[in-house]
Amino acid sequence: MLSFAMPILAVAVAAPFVSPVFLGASEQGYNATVVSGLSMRLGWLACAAMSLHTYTALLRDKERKVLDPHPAQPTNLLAYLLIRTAYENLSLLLAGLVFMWPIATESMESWLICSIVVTGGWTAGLFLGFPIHLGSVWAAESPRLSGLMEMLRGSNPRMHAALIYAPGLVLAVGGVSVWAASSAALSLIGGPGLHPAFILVPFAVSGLAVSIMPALAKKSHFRATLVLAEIDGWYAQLEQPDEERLVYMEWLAVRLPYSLKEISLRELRHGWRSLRSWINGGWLIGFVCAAAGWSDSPDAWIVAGTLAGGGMVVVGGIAIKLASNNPSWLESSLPLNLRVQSLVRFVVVWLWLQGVILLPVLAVWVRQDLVAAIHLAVWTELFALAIALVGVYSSRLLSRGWGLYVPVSLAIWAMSVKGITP
Amino acid sequence: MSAIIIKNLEKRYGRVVAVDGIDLKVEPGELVAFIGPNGAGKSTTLKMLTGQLIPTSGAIELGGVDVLLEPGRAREKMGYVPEEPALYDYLTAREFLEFVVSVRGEGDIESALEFTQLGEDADRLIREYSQGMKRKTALAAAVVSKPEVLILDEALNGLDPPSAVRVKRYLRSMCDSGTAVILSTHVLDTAERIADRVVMISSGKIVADVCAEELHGQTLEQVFLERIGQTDERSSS
Repeated sequence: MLSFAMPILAVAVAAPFVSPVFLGASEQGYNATVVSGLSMRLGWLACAAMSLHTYTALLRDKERKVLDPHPAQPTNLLAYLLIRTAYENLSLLLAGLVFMWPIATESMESWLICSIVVTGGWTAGLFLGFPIHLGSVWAAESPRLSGLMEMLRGSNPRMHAALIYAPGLVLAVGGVSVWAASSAALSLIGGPGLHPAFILVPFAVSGLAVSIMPALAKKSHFRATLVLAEIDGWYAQLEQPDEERLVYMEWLAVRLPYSLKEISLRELRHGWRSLRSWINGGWLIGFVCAAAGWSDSPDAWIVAGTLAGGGMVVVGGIAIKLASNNPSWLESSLPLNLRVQSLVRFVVVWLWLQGVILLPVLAVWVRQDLVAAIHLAVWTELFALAIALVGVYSSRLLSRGWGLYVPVSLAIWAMSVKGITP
Repeated sequence: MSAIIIKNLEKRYGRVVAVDGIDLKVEPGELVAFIGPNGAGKSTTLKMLTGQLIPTSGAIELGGVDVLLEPGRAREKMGYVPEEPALYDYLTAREFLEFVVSVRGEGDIESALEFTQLGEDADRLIREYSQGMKRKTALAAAVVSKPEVLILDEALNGLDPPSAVRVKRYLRSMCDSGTAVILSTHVLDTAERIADRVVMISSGKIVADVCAEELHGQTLEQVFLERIGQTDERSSS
């Protein structure tokens, strides 16, 4: 229940503070183009997230391993996975709708129209995701598509090419339908756009996708296990033993004095090996922030900074994960100086947060000027220091630290965004 | 009709040959032990047999069904316990078996539970189970619907001695009622005691396929070392 409510509550707290950055309110109220544009972006985001969630549910879920020895009916299983994925990610949709709530304070009608667009993106991601991922299993094995897959695969195994590009295909098809819906939303709110009926395009596309799902499920469900085993086998063959031992930024700790080096290496290795997706996710968020900052608008650095702040709140939680993942016997049998450990963890978390910062700063420097980039760099670095500090102090409470970290870091985010918003 | 037919089965990973042209037939009611050193290709063969891995070449039929062309029907005919069984941690063993029966459409939960002797533990959450109890649950799930073919990948590992004895007896009784069983193991004693036939695999090839009566006073260990030694010599020469 908490994991369901937490993103919605977090967005509810942050939305009033950060919405001016995205909605650009003026004395005349919200601009219709900006409002429909926000609904389009949120629709895209929901579609992309659902595309990835459907991939995980269908192909990489641990349930596949449990069910594999048994003759489960693929169509029944697909229906179950669809309902489960929808339920598990409903909070994402609700969070998106809450994020747009400031629009409702001015016009409930506009909020409802934008909500249809975002819901359309979420629905398209869900309903397109399953058939496209099932289709990707067929494509992976299809002799007719082998030439195309060979061209697309890069350094991956040929079969993997189909699976890698499937989420992008979901986003492409879902994204066009969301664009059509947001254009229709603009015309409904009072601007120039497509016919209002186009607001239903994502739902129509979803309906079409549902109709082909059963046949694809029967064809591809069991084959997916085989395709995944081939792909994993191919990667396992390439795996170098040294690769597993390489640790991101370990070189920074190697020359430190012994008392610091031991703890630093432990934190860096533990984080990289057990929480790598958090660290890599930081760079991915940084890429999204860079895209937001890649604009001629003088406010682009503020938008990029706001997004980067939100991203750092997420990535900064790694401090608590680090502490709570550590076996308690290790902490008690190898007691460390708490002050030194906190200092090291603070520095390590701050270093990991650089992934969120560097790319948007670079983007703003290239598209605007050095002054805007310096503004962004100073603001994000100060924010990173604050988040690392809150993370490290919260980590002393182990997993209970989330209760302290989430509200405090969100409050810092909201207030500091308010501070830089003109 | 044979319960299992494997024809010229091969699996390559790049230059590495994991399984190298295996031919094997198992008849209904036969219990075949599949033995070999670590990395010999036992699990790879069983994974191909159960439709978890695509063979590089060759054909597999299970109860007359092509495993690759009709994976759903092949699963209806088999019960399978993988080397590392996956279960639902937040179900009890009884609930898990009820689930498996609902998926398979038929089954006798009580007799499967009786054979594994989980007793009162059958109503505890699987996440609280020891490794051996999890394996027993996976075994019960594999036999609950009385499959035509039972495939066990190192399934006796982690069982306490009384349970292992009971499982061996149960397997024997299943064979008597017509089920074909393939059991991979590295415990030669187990293979010698319960199997009708012992198939030895080394470096992806079958190096011996002997019936219990063909041992001519030799122990399985002697035959095993002799055959494995021979292949090692061949490959080194």
